[in-house]
Amino acid sequence: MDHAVTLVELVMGGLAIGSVYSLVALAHSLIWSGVRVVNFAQGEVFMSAPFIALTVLMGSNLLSKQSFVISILAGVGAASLVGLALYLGVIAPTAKHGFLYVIAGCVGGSVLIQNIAILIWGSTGVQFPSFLSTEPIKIGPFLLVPQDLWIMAISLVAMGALYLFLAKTRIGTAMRAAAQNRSVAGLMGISHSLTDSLTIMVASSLAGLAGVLLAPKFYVTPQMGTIISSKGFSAAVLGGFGNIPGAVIGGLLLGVLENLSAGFISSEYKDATAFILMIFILMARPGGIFDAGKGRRA
Amino acid sequence: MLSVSSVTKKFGGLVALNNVDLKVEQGEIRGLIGPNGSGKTTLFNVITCYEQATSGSVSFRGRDVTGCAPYQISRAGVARTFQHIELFKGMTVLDNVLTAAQCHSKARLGGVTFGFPLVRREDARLKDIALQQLEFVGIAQYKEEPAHSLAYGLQRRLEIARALATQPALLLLDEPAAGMNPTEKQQLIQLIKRISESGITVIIIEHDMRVVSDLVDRTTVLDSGVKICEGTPAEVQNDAAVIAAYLGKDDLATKPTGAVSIAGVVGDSKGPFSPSPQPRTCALALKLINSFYGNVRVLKDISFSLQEGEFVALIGANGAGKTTLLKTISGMLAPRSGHVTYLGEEITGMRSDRIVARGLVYVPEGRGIFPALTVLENLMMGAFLRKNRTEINHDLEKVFTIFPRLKERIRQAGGSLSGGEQQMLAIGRAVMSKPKVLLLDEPSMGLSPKLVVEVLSTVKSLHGAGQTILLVEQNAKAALSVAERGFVLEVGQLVLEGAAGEVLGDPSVKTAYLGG
Amino acid sequence: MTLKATHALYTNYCSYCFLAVIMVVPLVFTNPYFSHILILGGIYIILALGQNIVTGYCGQIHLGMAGFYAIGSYTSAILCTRLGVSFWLALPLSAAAAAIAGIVVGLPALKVRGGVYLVLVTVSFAGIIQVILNQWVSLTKGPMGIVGIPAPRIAGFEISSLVQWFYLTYFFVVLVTLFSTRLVHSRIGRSFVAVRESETSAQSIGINLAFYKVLAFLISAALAGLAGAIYAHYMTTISPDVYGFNLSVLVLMMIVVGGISSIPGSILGGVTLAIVPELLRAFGSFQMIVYGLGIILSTIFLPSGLLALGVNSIQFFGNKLSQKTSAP
Repeated sequence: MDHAVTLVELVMGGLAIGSVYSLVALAHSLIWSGVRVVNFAQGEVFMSAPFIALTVLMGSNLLSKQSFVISILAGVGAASLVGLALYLGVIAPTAKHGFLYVIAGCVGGSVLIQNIAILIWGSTGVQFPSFLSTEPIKIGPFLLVPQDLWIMAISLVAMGALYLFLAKTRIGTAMRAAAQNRSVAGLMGISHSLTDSLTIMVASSLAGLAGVLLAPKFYVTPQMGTIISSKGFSAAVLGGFGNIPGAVIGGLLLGVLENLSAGFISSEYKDATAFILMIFILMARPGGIFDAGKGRRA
Repeated sequence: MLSVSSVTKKFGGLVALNNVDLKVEQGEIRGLIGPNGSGKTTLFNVITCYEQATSGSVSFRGRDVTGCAPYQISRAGVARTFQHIELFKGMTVLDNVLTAAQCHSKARLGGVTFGFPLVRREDARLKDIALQQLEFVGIAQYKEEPAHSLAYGLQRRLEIARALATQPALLLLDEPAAGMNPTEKQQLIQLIKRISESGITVIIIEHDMRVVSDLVDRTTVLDSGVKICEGTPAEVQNDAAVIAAYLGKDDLATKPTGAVSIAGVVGDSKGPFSPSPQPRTCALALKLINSFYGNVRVLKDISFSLQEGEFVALIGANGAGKTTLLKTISGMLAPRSGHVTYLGEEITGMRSDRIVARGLVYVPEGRGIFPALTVLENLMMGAFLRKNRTEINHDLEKVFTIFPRLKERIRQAGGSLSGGEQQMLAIGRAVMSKPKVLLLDEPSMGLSPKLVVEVLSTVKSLHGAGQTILLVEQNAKAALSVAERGFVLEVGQLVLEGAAGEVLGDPSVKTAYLGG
Repeated sequence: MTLKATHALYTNYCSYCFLAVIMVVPLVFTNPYFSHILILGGIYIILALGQNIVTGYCGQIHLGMAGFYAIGSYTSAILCTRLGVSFWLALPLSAAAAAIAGIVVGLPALKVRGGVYLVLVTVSFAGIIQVILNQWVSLTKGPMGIVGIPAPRIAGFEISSLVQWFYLTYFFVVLVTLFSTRLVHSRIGRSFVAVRESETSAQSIGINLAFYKVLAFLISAALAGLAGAIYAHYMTTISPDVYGFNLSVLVLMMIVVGGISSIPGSILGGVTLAIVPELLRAFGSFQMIVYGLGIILSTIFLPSGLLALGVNSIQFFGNKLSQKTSAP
C-alpha cells in the first residue's frame, strides 16, 4: 500500500516537472514543424523570462497578485523577443550553411546571453519569491505539493490556449497550413516571414513560461537554462521531433520516468537511467515514440 | 540476366507496381517508359533493393536478390544512376569515380595507416580503372575539378562514369537525358551505344521518345504500375493501349455528366452573368519566357497570350515543362528572361503571395491540400487574403453548391479525402480566392477516367460562368475536349497552337508525346 | 602553378607547417604559461581531429566526444594508479576502451534518422558516462577524482618538466596528424565523404553505410581516448566535472572555427580554442561576451573556417603581387 502511495506521489511530482519539460519540448517541436530549424539556445530563452519577471517585480516594489501576474507576462513577453532575436540574428543566417552551423551559432548565442545575464544580475543568482505554498498538503492518503499542482494547471492552461490559437484562429490555421505545405501556403498569400516570426514568438513564450513556472522551485541563475533545455530537447526528440502532441507526451513521460527512477532505482543515477531509456526508445522507434515508419528526417 | 517476377509494391494503400514481370537478356538495351507516376523509378528501386517488393521476386544472373541491401546488389554487378543527380559534390571528378572503383576492395584500415605496398598497388590499380572510365565517357580533362563545377550535361556523364567504375554487368539509367539539349542527347546516345558494345546490359528510363527509339532494342511500357505493352519501339509507338495511356482515352469527350448546372449559381455576385461580347482584354501574356532549374533550361522563348474569359489548354508530355511554366506565371519560380503580364501589369518575378492577391490563382500539381486541416479550413485558407466576411461566406456556399461532396465532408481532414475529392477541394479552395484567372496544373493526375470526366466537366462549367482558365494537362484528349484553344509544349518549346478541336486531330500531338 | 594546385599545396603541407611553428614556441618563449596552453592545445588538436573524422568527413553530427575523452582518461588513470600499468601500455588500452565505446554508440546511431536524433543519442551517451564517473565511487572515486596519476617514463627517464611534456604531447600530435592525413586521402576517407555527401548514391556504388559509420565512430572515439589518456597523465589529477557537455560542444566548435573536413583546419581550430579564451582575458568581465559574439560572427560569416580565410587571403595577396610584378 505504501508503495502505491509513493508511486502516485512520484508520478504527480514527475508530471509537474514533466509539464515544464513539455512546454520546452513544445517550443522545439513548434519551431521545427513551422520553420524547420532548431533553437539550440532554447535554454537561454527559458532563462530570460524569470530574470525579466524578477526585475519587473522588484521594480514595482509590490508583492501583490497583480504585480506577480504583470511580471510573469513581462517575462514571457521578453522571452518571445529573445527567441525572435536569436532566430533573426543567429539561426536564420547560419541555417543556410547547414545544421552543424546552427548548433555552433547557438552555442555562441548561449554564451552571449548567459554572460550578459551574469553581467546584469551576477552569477550567483536570486531566489524567486513564491506566493504558492511549498508545504505539502494531504489529499487523501497522498502528500502533494500545491506548487506542483499549480505548475501543472498553468501548463495545461497554456497548452490549451495554444491549441485554441492554432485550431480556431485564422492566423493559427494559417501557421498550421504553412507547416504542412510551405510553398502552397505561399500561394494562398500566407507570408512566410509572418508565420515564421509568429511561430518563433509563440514557441519562445512557451519556453519563457516554463522558466517562470520553474523559477520558484529552483534558484534563478544564468546557467539554469542549460539543464532544463537539454531535458526539453530530449523530450521533443522522444515524442518525435516536430510532433506537437508528441512533445507534450514526451515531456510528461520524461518527467515521470526520471522521478520514478529516482524513487525506485536510485536518485544518483536518475539522469543516467533517463539517458539509457531514451537511447533504447530511439533504437526501437528511430523517429521518436510516435514514429510512423518512414518518417521525415529531422 | 535480370528476371523480375510478379513484383507488386504497395506503399500503404497505394499500389505502385502491380504484378510486373520483366525479363532482360544479356547484352540488350531495354527501354522503360510510361506516363508520370507509372512506377518506373519504383521498379528500379525494387531491382536495386532500395525498396522491398511487397510480393514477387527479383533474380539477377540466376541468383535471387529480392531481399538484399543496396550495397550488396551493387557489388553483385548492378549499377544505376538517379533521376536527380546525386554526385559527391564535395569531391573532385576523379575522386567521385575512384570511390566507385573501390567497390570490390576491402577497407583495409591497417594497410591504409601504414601504407602497406599491397594496398598501395591496389590503390594504383583502382586509380587506373577510374581514369579509364573518365576517358571512356570523355571527361578525363576535368579530373581534378570539383564535381559541382561541371556543366549539367557533364555531371550526368560523370554519374555514368561513376556507375561504370563499379564494373557492372547491368546498368540502370534513370532519365539520363533529362535537361540536356539535342547535341548533348546525341552524345549521350553514342555513349550508351558504346557502353552496350562493351558488353554491359542497359535498362533506360526516358521520357524523350526519340532517344528511346534511337537506342533500344525493345521497350517495356508501364502505366499506373501495370505493364501494358512490350515490344520494339515502332510496335510500342503504334500500340493503342500505349497511345491511350499517354494521350488519354476517347470516351472523355463532351459527354454530359451528372454535374449540377451552375451557370446561374457561379455568376458574379454583382448580378446575373452576361458574357461581354467584344473586345476581350488580354488577361495573361507571356513574352519570350526562359526558365531554368539551376543550370538546366526548361522553358525556351515561350510566348502566348490568354484572353479574358477564355479557356485554354496547354498540353505536353512529362518533362515538357508544363509545371515549370505555371510556376513561372504564379511567382513560385522567377524566369531568367522574358516577361509575364497580367491584366496589363508586369508581374515577372513578383512574389507568389502578391500575385495571388491580384486574382491570379494557381492550383498546383498534386493538389497541394493541407492534409491535417479540415475541408472547411482548407477552403478558408483560400480566402486568407480577403476581408469581407459576407462575401467570403457567400463564396463558401457557392463552392458547396458546385461540390456537394465537399459539404458532406466539411469537418474531415483534407488528407483523408480520395484523390478526386482532393482535386475538387483544391479547385474549391482556388474559387475561394476569387480568381480572375485560374491556373490548373494536371488536375487529372492519378484520377480514374470517370473522375477525370467529372472534374473537367466542373472546370468547364466554371468557364461557362465566366472564369478565365489556363489548364495544363498531360491527358491531351481530355483537356482538348473541354477547352476552346490548345497549345502543345514539347521539351520546353511551344510547337503547336490552334482551336482545341484542330489540335486534337493533329498527328504531331502524338509525335510530341511518343516520338516516331 | 595553377590556382588549384597552389591550394592543394597549402592544405597538404599546411598541417606540418603549423605544427612546426607551434613546436618552436617553447624554445623561443620560455614563459611556462605558453607551454601549458599549447600542451592543452595539442590535446585539443587530437580531439579536433577525431571530431573532424566523424563529423567533418563522415557527416555524422557527434556531440558526445567528452564521453570518449573521459573513458580514455579514467581507463589510463585507473590502470596506472591501481594496477601499476605503465603509461606506454595504458595508452593503447585506453584508446581501445574508448574505441569499443565508440562502437557501442555507433550502433544506435545507425538506426536513427536524422541529425537531431543523432545529437540526442551522442549527448545521452556522454551524459551516462559523466553520471557513472560521479556515482560509481568505488571505481572512479566519484567527484573527488583520481589523484597521483604517474608521469610517463622513457627508458627510465621520467617526463617531468613542462618542455618535456610539450614535446611528448606533440610527438603524439604529429603521429595522429600523419594518421589522419593518410586516412582522409585513402579509400576509407573517400567512403566517409561519400556517406556524408549522398547516402543514396554511396550505397549504389557498393558502400556499406553501417560499416563506415561505425568505423568513423570507432576511430574518433579512439583518438579522443588517446587524448584523454595524455591529459590524465599531464594533469596528474582528474575529476568528473571536466568531462561535461560543454567540452563536447567545445570540440565541435574547434572544427567549425578551424575548418570542417580539413586536417590543418583542425590543428588551427584546436590551438585557437586553447589560446583564445586566454587572450580574451584582456576584456575583463566582457571576456565571455566577446567570446560568444565571436563564435556567432564566425559561424555566420566564416563557415569555411579560419583556414579558408587564411588560404583565401594568401591567394588574394599572391594575385596582387603577381599583378604588380607583371606590369609593363
